[in-house]
Amino acid sequence: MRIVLLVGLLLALSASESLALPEEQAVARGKELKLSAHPQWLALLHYDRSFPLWGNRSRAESPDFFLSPNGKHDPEAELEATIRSFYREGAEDEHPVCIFRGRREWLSRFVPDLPERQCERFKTWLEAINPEGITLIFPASFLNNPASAFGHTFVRIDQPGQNESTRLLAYTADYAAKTAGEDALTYAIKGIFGGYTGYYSVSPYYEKVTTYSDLENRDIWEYELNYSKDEVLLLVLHLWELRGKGFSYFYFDENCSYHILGLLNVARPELMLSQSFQNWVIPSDTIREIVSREGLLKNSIYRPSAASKLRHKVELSNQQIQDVSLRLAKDASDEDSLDNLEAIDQALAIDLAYEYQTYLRIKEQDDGAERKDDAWKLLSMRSKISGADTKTPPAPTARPDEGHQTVMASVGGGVMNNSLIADYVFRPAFHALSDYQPGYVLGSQIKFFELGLRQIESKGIKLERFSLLNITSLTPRDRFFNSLSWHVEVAGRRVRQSKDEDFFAGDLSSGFGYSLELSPGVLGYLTVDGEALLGDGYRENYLIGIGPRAGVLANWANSHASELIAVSRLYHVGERTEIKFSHRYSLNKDRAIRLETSVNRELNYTNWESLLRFEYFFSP
Amino acid sequence: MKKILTVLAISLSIPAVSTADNVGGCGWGSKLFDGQKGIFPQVLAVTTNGTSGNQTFGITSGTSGCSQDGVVKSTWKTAAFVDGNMNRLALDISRGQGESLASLKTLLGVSASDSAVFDNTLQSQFSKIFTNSSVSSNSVLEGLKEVLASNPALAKYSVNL
Repeated sequence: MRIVLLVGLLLALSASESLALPEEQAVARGKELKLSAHPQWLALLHYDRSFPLWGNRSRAESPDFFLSPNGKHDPEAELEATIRSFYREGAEDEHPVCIFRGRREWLSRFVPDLPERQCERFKTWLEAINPEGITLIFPASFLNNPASAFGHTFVRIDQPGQNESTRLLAYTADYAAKTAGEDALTYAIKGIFGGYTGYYSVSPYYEKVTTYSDLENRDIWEYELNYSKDEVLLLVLHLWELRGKGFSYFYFDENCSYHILGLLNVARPELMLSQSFQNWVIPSDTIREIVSREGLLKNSIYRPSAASKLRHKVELSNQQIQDVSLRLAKDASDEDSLDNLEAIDQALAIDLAYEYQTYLRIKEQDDGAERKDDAWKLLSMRSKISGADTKTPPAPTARPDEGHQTVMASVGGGVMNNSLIADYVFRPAFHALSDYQPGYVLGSQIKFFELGLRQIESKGIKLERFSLLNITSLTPRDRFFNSLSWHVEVAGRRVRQSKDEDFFAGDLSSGFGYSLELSPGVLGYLTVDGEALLGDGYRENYLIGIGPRAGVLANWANSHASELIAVSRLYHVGERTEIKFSHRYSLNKDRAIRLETSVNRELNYTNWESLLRFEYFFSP
Repeated sequence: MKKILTVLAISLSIPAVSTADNVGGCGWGSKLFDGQKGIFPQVLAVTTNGTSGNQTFGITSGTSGCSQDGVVKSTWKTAAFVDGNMNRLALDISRGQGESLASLKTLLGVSASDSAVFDNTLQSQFSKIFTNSSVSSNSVLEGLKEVLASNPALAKYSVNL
């Protein structure tokens, strides 16, 4: 038997070598068919528009992604070099035929009988991946972690016959910048200005779920896409040729989501997914784009995070069960506290206690043996109760991609101190506290580069405010969750000293405090803020102050929300008191009318205004 | 000539896969409740998702020869899964239900008719599998093997571990 196999193998080897198309013919055919201009070829090379003057170029930065020295700029040179490389001599595993499997596969559709090799290492890998379908995975944001607000995207490669019992075993392809544990500021600067190189990586889905769902407490949404098996295969073959190759990384426009779109482009380049984003790329926007394409979304699945599961159990538990859980979470040997509960309730109490204890252990970064012993005791306790089902939270009514678009522009008019005003706002990203809520985290606000212009009667338009960033995180407290609520703002605003005197001042403020859920959809909060203002209108050119801020955010329904804010500030010279009320009515998720009215007494001058704004949300 | 010799060498030396190799062979050895330190939320880390994580896809071989290029070698799949999912498996087994438990059943080839017995048996034998709060994945695999072997209906699955 072995001899037969051996002879067969030898024959096959020699056969493939002698039947290959001669090199010059292969190259000529490629030129003749103008393959280098084909969108699929450009997708395989990750070519995309760059700054208008620079022309089209590849996003790959590793020189060994290219076979031609000009590969980054010249798709034609790269095509010829690729074909020629297949004819080279060389060691098996690192031979171009075995590395550039995606290119070879696609080229063979037009240029028959290209040289082939055994490529065992690649075959082993492909067998393990076992591709049939593609699901786009979206870890959404988590409350109190605005860094996660924009979300993240990566893909999972689904296997034949996959179901809810085997999803975890599939492999994923992800894109991330390779960092070296720098401090947060260096990290931010390098990330924004391209100081990092990004790489694609492959890992089992269960690893991702542990990281995002269990450790980072992020809900995960799985979007099953309608790519054909052949399209998926080409994507996976291409993924193999991305192994260890560095690509660009720019936080705003060439980030993880951009490069995942680049991967999807290979499956079906005519969708031109990454080309739909000419400016910046927000992960949730990429999901919106994909979902908007006819027939591309097959199905969506919600995977609640550890915190969401915990919160759901808290909601299901009455006072008694909560009491028992809290006791058990603190001291697992307090088994007697379970005695008064029915078996079903005992299971819920232990489940809640265990999940809460785990949540705390992770949050407090407590690696101690005592906490681990307690956790183990709780699991042992639970294992003695059979037949009790664990409840999972239902999916939220809106998916993240069903939320409002991220760019906002508004036109408003009203009155300010007896003068008529027109007010214009432009905000590139992302979500204000009282904006249309579905798809966003309640209590989380992120504003980037918000620009406000105001025109008073017949006078000219002046800069009213500019907010570089404004981040607010209101996390309601209860018996189980007691995180701090906070906000930070780096901005500038117009300060009015009298009817005709005003100046523009830099405004930095930050506050910490607590919030409570007063009733479903209604948050109340109280923070203590510190503020620093810089402007030439102040006697000493600056002002510093501190004071409380109280507010209520009420979502009466999806279409109606109100916000009331009261601020009191004591500056080193002077004081300020402001009360502001705003009501938003949404015609649909992307169109809203907002009524705003406020009174601001600052440095002995009282300014009152009332406006009606028309807000439009659209994609970047 | 060189090619023929290489081919000969490969074809004559295909190793036999021993199931005993799965236990203790790869030596990842993670412990229960390990690695749960979590990621501290950062205000300024707006460029998150740039994880400095393992480049599990590079040109070089993966950890201890049990995975390569980001994928786990098929003979190690179950061991790797248990090693990478200790916490979730412990939770699911203590409850007698869950996705990680279902995935384990898939890896072991448990039939639909044996599924309920599998869940109940593992749940009731929880402390034989997860013996203490810092049990290693190797012990868990051995414990699982013993529990399955000592149950007539499930003994046939113990060889897949």
